[in-house]
Parts: sequence; C-alpha cells; structure tokens
Amino acid sequence: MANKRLIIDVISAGMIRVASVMILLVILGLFAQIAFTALPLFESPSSSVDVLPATRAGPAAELKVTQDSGANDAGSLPGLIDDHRLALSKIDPAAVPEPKRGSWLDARDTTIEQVHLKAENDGLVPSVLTRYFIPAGIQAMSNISLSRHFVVLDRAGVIHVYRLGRSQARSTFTEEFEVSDINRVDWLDESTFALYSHEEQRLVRSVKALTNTLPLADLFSFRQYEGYPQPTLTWQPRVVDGAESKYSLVPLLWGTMSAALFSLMLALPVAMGAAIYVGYYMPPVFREAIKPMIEMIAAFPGVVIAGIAMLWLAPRLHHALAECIGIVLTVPIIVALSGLFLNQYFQTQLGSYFSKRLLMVVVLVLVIAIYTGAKLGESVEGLFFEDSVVLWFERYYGLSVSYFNGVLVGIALGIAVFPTIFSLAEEAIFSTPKGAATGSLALGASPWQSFIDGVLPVAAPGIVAAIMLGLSRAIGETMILLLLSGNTPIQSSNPLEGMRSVAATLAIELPEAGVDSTHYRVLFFSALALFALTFLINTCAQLLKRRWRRRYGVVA
Amino acid sequence: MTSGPLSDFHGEGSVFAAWAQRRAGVMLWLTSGMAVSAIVLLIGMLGLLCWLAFAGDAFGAAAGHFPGALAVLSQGEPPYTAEALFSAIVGTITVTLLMTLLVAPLGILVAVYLHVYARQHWYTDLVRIAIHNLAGVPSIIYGVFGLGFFVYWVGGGIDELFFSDSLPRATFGTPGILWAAITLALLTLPTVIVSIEEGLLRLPASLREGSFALGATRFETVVGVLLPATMTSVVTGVILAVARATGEVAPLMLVGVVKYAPSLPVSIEAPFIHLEQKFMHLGYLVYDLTLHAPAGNGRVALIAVVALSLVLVTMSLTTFAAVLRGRFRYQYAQEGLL
Repeated sequence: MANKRLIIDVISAGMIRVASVMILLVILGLFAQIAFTALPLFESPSSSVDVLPATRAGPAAELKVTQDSGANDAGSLPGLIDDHRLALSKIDPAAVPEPKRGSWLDARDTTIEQVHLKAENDGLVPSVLTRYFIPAGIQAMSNISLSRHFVVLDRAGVIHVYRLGRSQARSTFTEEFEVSDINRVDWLDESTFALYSHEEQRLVRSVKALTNTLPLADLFSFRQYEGYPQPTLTWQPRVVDGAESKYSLVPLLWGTMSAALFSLMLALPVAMGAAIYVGYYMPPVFREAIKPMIEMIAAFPGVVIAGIAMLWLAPRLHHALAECIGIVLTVPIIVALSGLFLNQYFQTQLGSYFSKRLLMVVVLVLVIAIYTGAKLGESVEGLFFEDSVVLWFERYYGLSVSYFNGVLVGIALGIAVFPTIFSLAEEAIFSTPKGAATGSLALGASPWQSFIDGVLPVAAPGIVAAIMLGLSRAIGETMILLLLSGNTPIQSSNPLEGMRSVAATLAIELPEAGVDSTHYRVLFFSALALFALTFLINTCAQLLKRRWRRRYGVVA
Repeated sequence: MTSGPLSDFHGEGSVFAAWAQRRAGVMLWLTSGMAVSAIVLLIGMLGLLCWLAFAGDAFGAAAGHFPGALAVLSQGEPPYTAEALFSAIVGTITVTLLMTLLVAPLGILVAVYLHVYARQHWYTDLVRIAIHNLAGVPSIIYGVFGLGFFVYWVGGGIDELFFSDSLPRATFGTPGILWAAITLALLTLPTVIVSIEEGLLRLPASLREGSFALGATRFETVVGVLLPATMTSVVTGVILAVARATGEVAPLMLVGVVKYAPSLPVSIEAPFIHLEQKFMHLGYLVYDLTLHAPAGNGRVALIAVVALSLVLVTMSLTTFAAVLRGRFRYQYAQEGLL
C-alpha cells in the first residue's frame, strides 16, 4: 500500500512540475512568440533568396502581365507610360506622355530615376526622388510588386532587387544563364519573380526574394514619399492607387502617449485626493464600506464606458465644453475656499478629523460649486467667446476641431484608469505604519502637515507604483480609443483633435493583414513595443512596491 | 503647546500654526470632495445607464426606452434581431464557461507548484514577479498572441494534420470559440494564480505540518488538506477571472468574435459544442451597436440594457468574491490560526 501511495506521489509531483513549468513557459513564451513573428521584419533580405525550379512557376503562357499603358487590374499597379517610363501611381491616360500627376520610374541605359510631381509654388514640378545606378547597363526590368519592389537584370547577368525609394539594392546575386536570351522579368506574386525569354516563350528562372522586410529606421524616421512636399512621419499601411505603404509608428505612439497623458491629467488629481481621504482621514470602519464602493468603477468594462461616452457625452461635448472647463476650474476653488472659512465649525476632537456632518456639507458645497461652475462657464462663453468656445477658437486661431477628440478620450480613459490608481495609492497610504502620522500629530502638527511630512515619504513608492500601473493601463486600453479617438493617425498636441493608438490599430488592422506580410509583421512589432513598454513600467512598479514593503514590513 | 522656546513659531495662535490649520482644513475639504465626486461618478454612471435604458423619451427622438428596444429587436434587421441577442448571450456564457474550465485547473496547478513543490529560489521569485506583471499586460497583446500563436500556428497545424481534406478552407486555422476561450484563460490566469497562492499562504503552517506528521505524502496533503482548506480562494480567483473576462472585448475581436453568427456554438445534438465556430459576445454587441446600428427609436436603450447587464454581472461577481474572501479570513481568525 505504502508503495502505491509513494508512487502516486512521485508521479503526481513530476506531472505537476512538468505541467506548471510548461504553462509558465507558455505565458513567458508570449513575449518570445510575438518577438519571433515581428523581428524577421528587419532580416537582411539578401540572405534569403530562394531559386525555385522553373516548373514551379508554371509555363510562361499562363502569365498575364500587362505591358500596355493604364492601370493593371490584377495588381492594381499602373503599367508602362512609354518604352522607358513605368508609372508608379495612377496617371491620367490623356496626359501621357507629359503626366499631370503621379510618379514614375524613368529607365535610361545605366540609370533609373524615380520621379514624382512635387507641389511647388506654381503647380507641380517633376522632381527626382531616388536614383538607382546599374553600371553594366539594363538588360531587363520588372514591373513594381505589391510590396513596392522591382527587379533589374543587368547586361553582366547580375540580378538586382530594389525597394522603391532606396538606391541601395536589397539583394544582388548572379545566376547561370545566357543573359542576352532574357528580355523580360516579371513578378508572379508579392515575393516571387520570373525571368523569361520572349523569343522562345520560355520561362528561364523563378526566384523567391524576401520582400516583406523593412529597415528598423523606416518605422521611426522621416521619409520622403511620392507626391509629398517634404519628408513625413505617416501611418498609412493600405495601398491606395498603387501608392507606397507608409509604416511610421511615430504617429501611433504619439496618439497612445497623448491619450494616456490626457487621461492621467483628469484621473490623477481625483484619484489621489480620494485615496488620501479614504486612506488617511477616514476611520477604518467607514473605509471598509467606501473603498469597495469606489472600486466598483472598475466593474465598468472599457467598451461600456466608451459606449456611454459615445452615445451621451460626444454629442454634448462641443456645447458643454465651456461648462466643463468652468466646472473643472471653479469647483476646486470653491471647495478650497469653503474649507478655508468653514472648516473651523467642523472641528472634532484631536486625532479624529472625520465627521459625517462634514461629508454632508461637502456634498452640498460640491453641488453648489458644480452648478456655479457650469453657469460661470456658460456666461463667460456668452460674454467673451461669441456663445461657443470651440467655434471661437476655430474662427480666430484656426484651431481644428473634430467630433472625436482628445478631451473625450481623456474623460473616458480617465474613468477607466481611476480605480487602478485609487485602489493602489489608497492601499499604500492606508498600510503606512500609523506611528508616522500619530507621532507627528502628537507633536502638534496639523493633520495635513502630518500627512505630508509623516505619511507621504513612506507611502511615496507605493503611490508612484500606483501611478505607473495606471499609466500602463491607459497605454493598453483598446476599446475606448477604438470608439472615441476617431482613429486618425495624426500627430498633434491639440486636445480637440483625434488620434490613433497602437492598441486600437492592432484591433482594427491585424485581422485583415495577410499572415507574414510586411503589414502583419509591422503590427506585431508595434504589439511588441506596446508589450515591452507596459512590461517595463509594470516591472518598475513591482520592484518599487517590493522594496517599499521590505523596508516598512507592511503587507499591501 | 502653551509655552516654550518655540512657542512664538509653533504655539497656538501663532501665524504659522494658524496658517497650518487653515491649510489642513482646505486639504481636508478638497480630498473629501474628491472622494465624494468618485462616488458621485459611480452612481452617476449607473444612473445614466438606467436612465438611457428605461426612462422613456428622455433624450428626444434619438433615444427610446426598453420596450422600444424590444420593438427594434422584433422588427429585426438582420444583425440586430432577438435571435442575435440570444446568440450573444449564449456565446458569452459558452466562452466564459470554457475559459473557466481551462483556467481553474491550470491556476490550481501553477499555484500549488509555486507554493508546495518549487524550491524557493531567486527564479521562483522571478516567476512571481513575471506573473504579477502579466496581469498588467494589455489585453490586446493576449489577442495578438492568440491570433499569431493559437489561430495561425497551432490551428494551422491541426488543419494540416487532421483536416487536410477541407483545405484551403480553414477549420481550426481561423478564429473560433476555442481559441477565444484559451486566450481569455491565459489573460485571466495570473489573476487566478495570485488569488490561489495568496489563499495557500494564508493557511496556517500547522495544517501542512500536521498532515506531513501523520505520514501523508505531498500529493495527499495537497489534495486532502490544503486544497479543501483553501477552496474559497480558488472560487474567489475564478470569480474574479470571470468578472474580468466578461468585460474584455479587444482580444476577442482578434480571435473569434463576429458581428453576427447565424448558428450557436452549442447545440442539443452531439457533439454539443462546436469549438471551431465563431461566436457572438455581449461586449462586442455593445461595440457593434454603438458603432454600426441604424439610429432609431430604442437603439440607445438596447445598448444601455446590454451594457447595464454586463456591468451588473461584473459588479455582483466582484462583490461576491470580496464577501467570500472576507469570510475566509474571518474563518481562520475565528479558529485562532492566523
């Protein structure tokens, strides 16, 4: 019997060990998996050219590559303008041979020029974006692939794969064949091209070149795109009219951070004030009831907060903006003033500064203050801003205003991060050893002095951790930004304009991005960046909390 | 504080003391104002939802009331019918149940391993920090992981092995309820582990030692003594996980939720549950209705009702978990073991 029991024990111990280590590995592998999907994006393309047997690509007769002018239906990429010019974006057929808009490649013997029409003072001026040099001379040249690559075969038999906009070839290699035979190169799909001989109607080679890669610098630096007057940071992954996909993560990161900042600006003062009151002033009996109640705000899922904000707040925000500003500015002043003059009538015995009577008066003062603030905002708007602050700024300062904007996002996101900050900061303040405050009070300091000099230094790491966790929550929140930010990838510090965040972009675009395409990998890279950022913030917060706990021996 | 060498500065009636008292009053009022406004915010949001849901024509033509919402459903434009609402409720319950089935045993396994089996090393500490951190990783990241790893990699692999006949039409290599449940399970696993481990830590050491002293093996101690004693913390963890999972929409958008699923993921005929199917979800319904539903009488009310039910479910679950946890602590305090 004993033997059987021991065997069961050993086997179960082994199984539990293996199973839980596997589960832990899966959780920790999250990071690894996202990284392994994202990072091939930056692989050097020359290392992975794959020469396929000619048969894999099928007979040449099946390949339909339009060589005539006008748009190519299959790939949505325009074709030739004339015998040495290849259109890169839609060109008005009537305007050929002198295009009025768009961009093209101009191939002449040893040089290929990428030309686009750039807006100058008086109309559009052709301007060379990039020059590609092929010293041996061009034997054949392909159309542009969907991933914006083209292939040049030179007279010495060397194949160059270029990415548009980069004069350095992405990969250069030689193949064994008679160069003079070949007079056409064409893309079979996004990453495979074929070389074939026209006279013999025969496909000579098909090559798979890795084209779903991107240099890291592209995601973060200014780039000159066709048709743009100057280099920009733009997120526009979907190809329109054969234009280049623009993968700059900067606008997305900007949107994420500015939304988080707006939300913290609103949530932080309220959360900290409430945390100080509940954790420091309130007696534990009342705290037990009030704290879980305030934490109930966390029971509102992001999508519900966003839904309420979109249906109820958004249509009112433009008209109510002045009232809101009035409330935000007036209420603290009125409450502070009434504290200054009325507090002496609510003095309680030493050491207890909580009174239910006071709370009721505060509610009353708050109601009066909100009403006054709203009225004040309204009348100031009527007197000085021609009845609408928004329109006034729009008219006189050219401030652009959109329906979905940073203020809306800030309010909704502020409500979402409020419980996180409140709960953790309150915990930090409450679990500070009581001696820190009572000692100071006994020496005659006021309650607030005791808090600032006694409690705050002890609780500070916990409070900082709470703020950091709130920030990381704000960075990762998806549904609120998805519904309320307007999802416009613009980079602006104007709180009345929209934004687009990394998380919302992932939710919108990832289901539609083809597996292992450039777009898919860029999205995974942005997920990796988001993950790394929040993980870093969370780790710092955790370490702060642990150190604090160890130093003061408190359980929080 | 009546006399002394510093009484000029700090004594009662001195300028500094008066100023300090005044400032203390101001800060007391300000902080209490913040706390009150937080409660007002909570009540206001609940009230607003109720108002939007039930308060007749409070918002003019754009709004409606709950009967109006039901009328919208019975008129039935394709994705917004009573069947769709039913399908969303069934989908939500199914995916949450599946997630619970996955997350409860996994959570117990890992927590028991960390508490009983693992040696207390720097790396178990590291694992703990990592688990705490994972609870704070944005949910969309879990969705990205679920899509890249489970749907495309595992699901694609299953398709190639077992469903190669129907390729290229994907069976498991496409978002579905199984992957959604697994993703949600991973998302909530840290919550469950932390809760159970906390429960195990709170158990008096005498329970474990007594069991060992009577000659029980570790397995018997865990199954016979520790887990029954800490069952409340297991239940608490699972309830918190369910509360968190009901509100999550973003990861589901990547791994299997759809605007409209004509067939339910469960049926009364074998095999009863269709793990590869896409499904509808109440949270996503709120999103979709807010964004796409045709404006009309009752739309706002419908959204508010669905949102209100989600909020109430989460609230009651959270409260229930808190009560359970309190009772658990009280139980051991009563027995004088803690």
